Amino acid sequence: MPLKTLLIEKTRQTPFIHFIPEEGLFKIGGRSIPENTFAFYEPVIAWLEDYVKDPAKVTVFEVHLEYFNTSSSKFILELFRKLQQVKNVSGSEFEVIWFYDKDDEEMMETGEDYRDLTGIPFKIVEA
Amino acid sequence: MPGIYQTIKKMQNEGALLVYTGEVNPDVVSRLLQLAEDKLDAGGCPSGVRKRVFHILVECLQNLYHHATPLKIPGMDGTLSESVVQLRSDDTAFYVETGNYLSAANKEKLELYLGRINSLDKDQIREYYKKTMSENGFTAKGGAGLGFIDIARKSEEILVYNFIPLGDDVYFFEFSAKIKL
Repeated sequence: MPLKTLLIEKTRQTPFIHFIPEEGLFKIGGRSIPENTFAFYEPVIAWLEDYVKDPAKVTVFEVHLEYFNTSSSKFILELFRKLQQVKNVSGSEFEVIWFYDKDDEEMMETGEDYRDLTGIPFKIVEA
Repeated sequence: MPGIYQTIKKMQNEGALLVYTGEVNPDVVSRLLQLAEDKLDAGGCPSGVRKRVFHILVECLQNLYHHATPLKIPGMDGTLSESVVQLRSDDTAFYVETGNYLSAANKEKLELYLGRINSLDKDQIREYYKKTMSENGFTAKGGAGLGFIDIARKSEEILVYNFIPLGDDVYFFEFSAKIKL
């Protein structure tokens, strides 16, 4: 059975997530400051678990985050690491586009930190 | 209520924007963040500063929620579970200040941890954050063990704190993070 699109609307404390498997397009954005990050991110990671077994030829992960708390930061790293597994399927490509506000230098630095930690090709782009 | 006027005057003189005392649960965290955002928006502060203040407040409140465990004091009824949080500003900076009770064992751990963070420069804090994020699992309380490192990174100032002994095994932990305008 093909994997369904994953759509989660944003709230004041949790981000929006739009994952369209057939297009290989994954978007996350808004703020991520829930007290219980596990409850929010675990189902998303489980969904990605299925996706990486049979990914689109090119997978693009767009990050449009405005704020996130420290416990979310670990799960965001997990999202990158999980999506990186598409490379296990021969011929698959994976790219991250990290957007930041022009007056938010820290968000730019955070993108650089994730790029260093994962070794994934990252485009860091002013929104 | 005699005296409350003086209390309010004192708080106003100190630039208090938001003060809360009581139990910190997820509902309280989300309400306080909403109130703080409204205050910051109304104050017209620059968006970079606003983001850093909000970020630090998120981490401070989540620290209180995850770590302020009720303590029993021998010879006293009930437990000490109340925390306090204050957002205030003066002409030069915003301050996020918290207070909560903790045991002697937790005080030792926290003191070492905060001392270590304060000994690091900006680049070292960034490296420490990266290393902790990628190598460590979650703490028993469900935190990432990153809260104070992130607060130091966003504050770009020395973290100010104090432990007040209240008996054999109980301390009151005072904490203040400064965000320069």
